[in-house]
Amino acid sequence: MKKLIGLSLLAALALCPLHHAAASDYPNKPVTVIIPFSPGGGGDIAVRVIEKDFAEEFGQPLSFVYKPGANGAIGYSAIAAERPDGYTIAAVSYPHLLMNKLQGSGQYELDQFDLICMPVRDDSFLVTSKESGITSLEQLAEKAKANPNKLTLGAVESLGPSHIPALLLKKAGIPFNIVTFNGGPKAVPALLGGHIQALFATKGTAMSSASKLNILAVAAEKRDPNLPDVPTLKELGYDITGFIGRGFAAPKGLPADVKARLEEGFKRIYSKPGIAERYAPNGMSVIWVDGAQFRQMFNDFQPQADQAMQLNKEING
Amino acid sequence: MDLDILGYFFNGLLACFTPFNLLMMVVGLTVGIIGGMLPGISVVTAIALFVPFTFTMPADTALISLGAVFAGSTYGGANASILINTPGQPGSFATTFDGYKLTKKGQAEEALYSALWGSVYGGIFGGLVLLLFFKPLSEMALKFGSESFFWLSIFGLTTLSSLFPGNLFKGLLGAALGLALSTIGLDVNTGVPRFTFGYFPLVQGLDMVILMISLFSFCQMIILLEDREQFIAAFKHNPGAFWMPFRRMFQRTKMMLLSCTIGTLVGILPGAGSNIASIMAYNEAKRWDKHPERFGSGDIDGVLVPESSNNASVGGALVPLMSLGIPGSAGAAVLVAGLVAQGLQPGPQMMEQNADIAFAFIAAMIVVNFGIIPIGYLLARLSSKILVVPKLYIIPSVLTLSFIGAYALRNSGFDVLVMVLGGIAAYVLTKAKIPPAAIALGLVLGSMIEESLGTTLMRANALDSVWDLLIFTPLAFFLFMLNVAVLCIPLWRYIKARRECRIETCAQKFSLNNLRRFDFWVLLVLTGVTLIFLNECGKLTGDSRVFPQVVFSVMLLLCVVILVQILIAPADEITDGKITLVNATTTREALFYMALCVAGYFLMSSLGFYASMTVIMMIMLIYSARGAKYALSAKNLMKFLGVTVIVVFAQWACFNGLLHVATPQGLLF
Repeated sequence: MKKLIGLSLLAALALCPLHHAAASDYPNKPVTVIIPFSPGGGGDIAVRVIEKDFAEEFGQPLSFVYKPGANGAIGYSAIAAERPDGYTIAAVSYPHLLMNKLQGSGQYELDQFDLICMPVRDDSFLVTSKESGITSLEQLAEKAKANPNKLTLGAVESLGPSHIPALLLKKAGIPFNIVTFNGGPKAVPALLGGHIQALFATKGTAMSSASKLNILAVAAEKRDPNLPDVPTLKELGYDITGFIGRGFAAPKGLPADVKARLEEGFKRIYSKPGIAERYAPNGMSVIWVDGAQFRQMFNDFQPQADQAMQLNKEING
Repeated sequence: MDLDILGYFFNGLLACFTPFNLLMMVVGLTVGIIGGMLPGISVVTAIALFVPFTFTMPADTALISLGAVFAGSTYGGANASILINTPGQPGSFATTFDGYKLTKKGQAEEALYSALWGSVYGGIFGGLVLLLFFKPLSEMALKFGSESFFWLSIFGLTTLSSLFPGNLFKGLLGAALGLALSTIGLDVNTGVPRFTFGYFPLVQGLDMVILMISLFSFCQMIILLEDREQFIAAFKHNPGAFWMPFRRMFQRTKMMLLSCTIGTLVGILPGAGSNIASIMAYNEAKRWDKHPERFGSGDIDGVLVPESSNNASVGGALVPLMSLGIPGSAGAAVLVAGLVAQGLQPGPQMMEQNADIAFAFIAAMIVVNFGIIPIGYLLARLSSKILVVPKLYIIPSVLTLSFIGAYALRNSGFDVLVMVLGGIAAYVLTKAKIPPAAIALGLVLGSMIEESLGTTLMRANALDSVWDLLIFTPLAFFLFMLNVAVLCIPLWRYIKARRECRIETCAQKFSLNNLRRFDFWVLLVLTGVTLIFLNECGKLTGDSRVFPQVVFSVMLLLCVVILVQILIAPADEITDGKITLVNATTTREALFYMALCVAGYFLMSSLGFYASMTVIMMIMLIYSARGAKYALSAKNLMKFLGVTVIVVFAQWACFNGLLHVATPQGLLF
């Protein structure tokens, strides 16, 4: 029986055509997508939402492989080493892909990836608890300036989409004491219990507790269409953004036609009617960003990231 | 409570009893219990893997089946704890203390049914608390700031003194080692990599689940090689076994209510789940018992307590989820993914806008426990058959299962290496009488202690002094005093015992003979490793240095104390542990098995995962055949091959077929 399995597997291997990345028939077998986070997390959900659409669009299913560890650094490093034939792609996140690198936990360079697209984003919001009575950033800033370094502003993670705007807000002159948490399930109760006074959290993290929160501002260029009364930080005089971008990438060296096929296919998926509604409950909004723009985003972000690293170093010694 | 809730609840109950929902509940329970039994598939993994199957279901069915997986996997871990001394999931490691002893005494059936009834009792308790008190309890949970969490997790550590009565210092050293291991990888607070020594894969850290497989599955199988018995334990069928624990639960109402209360409360606190719940309940039940010594000696109360507590934590973990939108445990956090996929936002909004579904879910969390009774009964009977299978087959099967379990957690070959090396280290430490359960306790609590300490330190920057927050806030002060109290009692007892001992016979005098003791050399190596890590601590900066520096310093101190203890030990203790651990043959066999597992890891990428497993399992069977009184005849060889193929095929079917784990293919398969 052992031999039988061995033989049948060998036969299966032999039947697999030696692949010459020809776009005409790409993809002709299931596409593996590496999720560098745990199943059930935001990085997984963002792809699961379009699992069926992918199969419809490309005629081949996605096969999920989870490689969590070290905030995604393990998974990213693994993808960088994969074969660029289009049959292994990965879910990548902005700004983690860059920040892991800067923090010294990633064994890869940004150039080792072909970025395909970034269709979804989850913006950071500045929130306080309803009980605190603080309803505007102005009020919060006033209070903080009256008691320098006595008001605690939380961030959901370290050097990510909520910590960076917190650091930049402090830099911009509001003297907070900044505390980082290990995830939303720790940070949100600290805010609701009054252990911290304000919190930066992405929409996906904070919105399940929304009825207990005052939402002061969104760290984005534009207001959130679902929360039209919430001003942007920019409108309030602070040119600061913070968000998780969820996108796709492949190892560097993808054949041009395969890359084009992927980009075009994803674009069709993300322009389907009703797609935004499917992402909305997770706090994610659909905004199409193509591969070239995606790379540009990282380039543009680099100075801000360096600044945040520097600030964090100054604060934590 | 108002009548509204009752009305919703009864509608919820009705929703549970539609045929399709009942069917999916059965499916969820079966998947959960089997997943829970397999080491490497924790509660979190079981739920996460089930979530995609619920996408196409109606909302109430999806929630009910996910709840069933949650409850089932939390219970299922007990079966492996009891039968092979290996917690199927971290939450059931306290069950190994008494469960496996019962198996050894020929009372496996009693133990299995105790776990079953205990889990059902705890699950119903937790579910009722969720239904009746979720609002006030979630407000209570919010009072716990990071400083209270810190003392609470330290309180978890104080359980050590009563759990490991042998050598207190070795118990403490084990826990310190567990804490130390949890610091490798990224700092939980700042995300900075630590102790990687330039070796990249160490960045992902040593996962608790992987090390649990090392400490229990792997190490336990090597220990099983030591005796010449043909089976793990004699299996006796006792017709009264099923109802006996049921009656016992109602005779010990106070004990059961205590452990369920602890379980539920720990579950409610965000970040603490079934693993901490069960160990705390076990310890408190022991502390308050009239005859504490029966815990740990193989008493069915020692199974009822942790099992009722960990299932009570399931309901508890849903309390903050339903009322605030905050998951109370990692399992509940994955459940959120399932809810959100249904377009439901868990939390206060859900209670207001989708109360019917919310209450169907809560009702289901009570109903599933009744479902556990028949399904758990069948699966317990089935799994108890492991005791009529000769050890010869069990050991290589569980070892290869440990490989796939370790790999499947994160699709990581490095985790397999950690599992094998960790398992070998665990065996060496066990032989030096450093209890693996103490190490496991340190691992469970390590990141929680460091995380809460880190958050507290950062928050304290806004205050004049750290102590204002850490000690001089009402709740923290209360928890701090509780710690002081429980620490003083055993310390006082220990000093008293030492004093009596000194007056009487134990002449302690330095003797070179003690250098021949096995544990001396183990401790010496451990001291060296600690020094290397302490040196590495010096390179860290800021807050990420605090916790490892403290832990490694304590470890060094404990190592020195134990070394001195060994050197001045009375002469008659020397026979206790010589360099040859058991006897020459079994030591050789143990070494051979460990070497094979290392070889198995290296063959994995070249030959392919399952080919490598087939090879090492066959060699193990052939090597041990004679010792187990099997002649190496052609007939027996065919039998070995048959068993190997069936075992490996079953693993392949379960992990690759059902769970889509992509194992390395290599040359063969």
